[in-house]
Amino acid sequence: MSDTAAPPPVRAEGLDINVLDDGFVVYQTSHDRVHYLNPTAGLLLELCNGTLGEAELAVRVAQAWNLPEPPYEEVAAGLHDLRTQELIR
Amino acid sequence: MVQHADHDIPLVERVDMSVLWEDGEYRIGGGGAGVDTEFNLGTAVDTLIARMHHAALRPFATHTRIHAASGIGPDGMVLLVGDKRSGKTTLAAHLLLQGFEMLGDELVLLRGGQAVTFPRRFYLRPAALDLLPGLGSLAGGAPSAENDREGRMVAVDPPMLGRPWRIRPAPIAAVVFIEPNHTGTSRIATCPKLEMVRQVLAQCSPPASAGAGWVSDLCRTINRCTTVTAHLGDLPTATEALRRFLG
Repeated sequence: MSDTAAPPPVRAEGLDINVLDDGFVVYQTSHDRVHYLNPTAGLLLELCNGTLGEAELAVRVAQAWNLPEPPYEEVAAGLHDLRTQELIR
Repeated sequence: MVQHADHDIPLVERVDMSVLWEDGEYRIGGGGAGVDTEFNLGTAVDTLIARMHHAALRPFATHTRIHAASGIGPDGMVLLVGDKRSGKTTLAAHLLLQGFEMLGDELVLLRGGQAVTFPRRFYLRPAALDLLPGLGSLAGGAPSAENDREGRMVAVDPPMLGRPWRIRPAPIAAVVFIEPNHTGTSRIATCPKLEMVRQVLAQCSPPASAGAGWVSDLCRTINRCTTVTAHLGDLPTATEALRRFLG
């Protein structure tokens, strides 16, 4: 966890986020690029509003999926993927 | 060139075009574009058709274009989507012969969840004709187009088979992604929505006017309709399976 060092992640601008029954389709208008996210990655992206740190995000994901423990490592990996795809900063 | 389809869509524009033979060349004009010059009849016809196509699509500049075959089922429009040579046209023609109301094999226009088929005859490759004995002698007398890559392609439409061909807007009720399984038996399976969006987007062109929200429109449409993958082998099995799925 790196809550103290890193600012809370925030969604990139210009994302057209579409919720499907089994995932998310995100259209990045600035790059004319489409991303296909599984439900967890999509939820994480939606939670990235610039106010929640990495640990808080893991807690929110745990609540959403009724997990016994916050999935810290998975959330860190998910945020890394979203950053790589330039969906968050 | 004339498509014998009935339309439940009001006339929005009348376009005049001209083809003149002057000084050893064809001069094609009208339709809101400059004059094109062609030196042989074949390319002149191709140019004229392209110009007509462009003019006909102009009022649909805000629609997403989906490369798909289409028909009408009990709950709305059914799209058959797949890569080139996946069997869309062959399956569409077979469904037509089996009594389904099929409208096209090439292009569907989507906006606000409503789809409309762009009327064009179904162009059947020579190999497809072998799979459609129901066409009988019709194929021999039907209009055709020929090129080096495809050979002679026969153009059929629903009225030629005694079927209705009525173009009208309708909500999309089902999307079928065709996965070729040409040497095997056909089977149908539910397709996840996310995967269907991926497959359909690969067959889409954004609205010519580049309006925002077209991906959302497509996602909403697919999320509320039935989505299946047809592993397309033999046509009778595929038809019966689709009949069960789509009604």
